[in-house]
Amino acid sequence: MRQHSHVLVCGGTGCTSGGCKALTAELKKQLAVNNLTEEVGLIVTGCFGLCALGPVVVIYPEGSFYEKVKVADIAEIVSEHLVKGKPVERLLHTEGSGDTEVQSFADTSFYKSQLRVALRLCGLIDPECIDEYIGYDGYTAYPKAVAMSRQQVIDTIKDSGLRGRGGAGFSSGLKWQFAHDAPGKQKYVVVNADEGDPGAFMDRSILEGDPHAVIEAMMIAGYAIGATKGVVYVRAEYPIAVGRLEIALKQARQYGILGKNAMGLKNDFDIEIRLGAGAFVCGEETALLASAEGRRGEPRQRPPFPAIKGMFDMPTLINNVETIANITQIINNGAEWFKGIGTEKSKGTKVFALGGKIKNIGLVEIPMGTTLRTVVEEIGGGCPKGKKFKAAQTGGPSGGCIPASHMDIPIDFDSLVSIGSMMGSGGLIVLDEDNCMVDIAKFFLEFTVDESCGKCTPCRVGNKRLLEILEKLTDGKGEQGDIEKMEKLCHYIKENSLCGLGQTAPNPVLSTLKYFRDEYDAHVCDKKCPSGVCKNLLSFSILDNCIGCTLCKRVCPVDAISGELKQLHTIDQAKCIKCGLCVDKCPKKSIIK
Amino acid sequence: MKTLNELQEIRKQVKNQVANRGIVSNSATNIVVSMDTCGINAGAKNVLKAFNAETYRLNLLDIIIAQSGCGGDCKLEPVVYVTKDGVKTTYANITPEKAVRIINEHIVGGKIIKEFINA
Ligand SMILES: Cc1cc2nc3c(=O)[nH]c(=O)nc-3n(C[C@H](O)[C@H](O)[C@H](O)COP(=O)(O)O)c2cc1C
Ligand code: SF4
Repeated sequence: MRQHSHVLVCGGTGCTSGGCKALTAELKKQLAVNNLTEEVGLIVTGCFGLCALGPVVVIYPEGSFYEKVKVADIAEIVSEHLVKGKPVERLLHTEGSGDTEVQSFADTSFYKSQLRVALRLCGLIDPECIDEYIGYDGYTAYPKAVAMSRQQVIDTIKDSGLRGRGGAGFSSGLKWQFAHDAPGKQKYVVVNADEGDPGAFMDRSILEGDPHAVIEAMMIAGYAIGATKGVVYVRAEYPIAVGRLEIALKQARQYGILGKNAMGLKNDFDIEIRLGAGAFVCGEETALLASAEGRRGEPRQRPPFPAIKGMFDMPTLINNVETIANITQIINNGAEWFKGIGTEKSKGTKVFALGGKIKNIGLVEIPMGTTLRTVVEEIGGGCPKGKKFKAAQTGGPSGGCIPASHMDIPIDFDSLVSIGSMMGSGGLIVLDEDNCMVDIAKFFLEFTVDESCGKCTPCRVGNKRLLEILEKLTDGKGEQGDIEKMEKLCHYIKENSLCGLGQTAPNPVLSTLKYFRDEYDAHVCDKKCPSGVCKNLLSFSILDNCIGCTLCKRVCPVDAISGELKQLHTIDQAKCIKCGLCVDKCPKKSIIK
Repeated sequence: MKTLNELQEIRKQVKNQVANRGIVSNSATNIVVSMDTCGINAGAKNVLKAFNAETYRLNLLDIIIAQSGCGGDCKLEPVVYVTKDGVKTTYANITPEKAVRIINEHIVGGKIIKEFINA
């Protein structure tokens, strides 16, 4: 039967915390009340992308996008939209311009500039139903690949220009070739779903929204390099992703799609899941392998690279989730199609987790070469409250910042490196005028110092020393020469650390120094934080236009403010803890930082 | 184990079932059934069902069948708007039987059914 409407409820991690389970239950109830259970399909999907507006419900065929839906809204949506065909306007997503014309999700400016390849089916299918994946041309790429020679499959990937999305951007085809050529009795395909960058959730969303795409791609990779075993290494903090993947694996085995001579084709492949405990360093491939084998998650020297000597010392192909999510479509649509998207040296698309000071917090996929301006202003909707954009941090703790002056830079692997940042795995944090760049550098360095495995001295001790200098600056104890000392230390750490974690840890410091040196200087020389973030550099004072209303005095938690009614008030600097409560309270805006 | 042919069969069936999960675009062939209280009273629900059943039976994939609110001509309900090749036709007083004919003669056959148009 064909149902006249499909109600899609986002069941990604974001919307699950927003209460989408209760919505689904209420929808079921209301559909039954209105006798629509047969005629209307109710589908729980993966992430639609606009996480900040969750819980999200989309109704097809209209493509109506309902945001921040509450249980109490469901009865109206069912009786108006599904029974009478009248979308409930007050819940529809509009773009704040008073323009209620936009109804279809596809027409929103959030969606329009996107191109969904890796996220093709996220938010469109029920990830817990293998039939839906099959219906959207799932499991057509694998038989096609097996009909080719192994070398032909590898050549297709090489030709497509696909580069790793896990951070380094290495040619995937070449990596497949190395793993194929390396001799070994038992080869492995490992998918890296550790995703440790703070604020990143691209890989999680793919696993939650379209797990079969990852399974099918692993089968293709297994065939190409001659591996019969696959491992998905995923952090245990991703329970929904792990659950969906488990269901998908079970269904694939039941259908005989995965396993020995799957689909009646002569090839063996099976997949198991290994759970990680969430250490950032375990995303590094050699540490990941150690952890997946059951050893302590510490990196080792490369070469030998995993493609030659990986899991249990056997040739192992390690790819990132998003990298692998492109494979089925490259096989199905051809290398030429994939090459047609993106820039000369960066083909295809990239998924970003947009976060920080931006309106449309969520998940976006753009063709490589899209400018940062398009991502921030059009798709992201700009900084909230009309604040000024200051910089975007890409590549998380290994990356760097892109200042406003470089907003028109095309986002691709090489352009980002050329300005001292990097693509990274896809975290994109937007910073506005209220962010202090020294504080941001400190934030990321605190993260890497915490996550350093401690195996080698430059990283374990060097980064700690670097952090201590940063703390000195933000405490107002910076001295002449500190910045130069930091620069020297940064280069030393980069050159001498054993693994990528240490080698890239100073990047946030170096890139903020490159573009925001004046902010560092203000911290050292003037003992001032221009953005008013570093508490120890702030001093609050009350201007002459104080009317003596006593509001500030009453709100101060430490009684640092004194003054009589209708008299000028003053702040005792020794007592003030710089909480800023009085600033917000003052009706005359007389209290300044 | 499912063979490749069995998988193909599932694929065909699901494609047919989810055909409405597209995004309405102006260029696609679409049928809109007016479904406000007046339309529903006049039998629009069964008309909508008939459209879906017939497109499913004929495995017509790229036709979108949507509903809309009242168009204002309540005495002509159920009203149905068919857009094909950029031409919009308004049919009045449609029944499930007429819906089947619209699919076969207008959508498949390409001929507008003059007698269903309110003069
Ligand atoms: C400290 C550190 C953390 C990493 N974390 C991840 C991660 O979470 N996910 C990932 O795919 N790659 C991560 N990588 C990169 C991997 O080592 C490896 O290059 C990647 O998984 C290869 O897949 P790709 O070629 O498809 O990008 C990390 C590297 C380093 C140095
Ligand atoms: S660079 Fe840091 S994380 Fe990497 S091995 Fe050395 S101590 Fe461990």
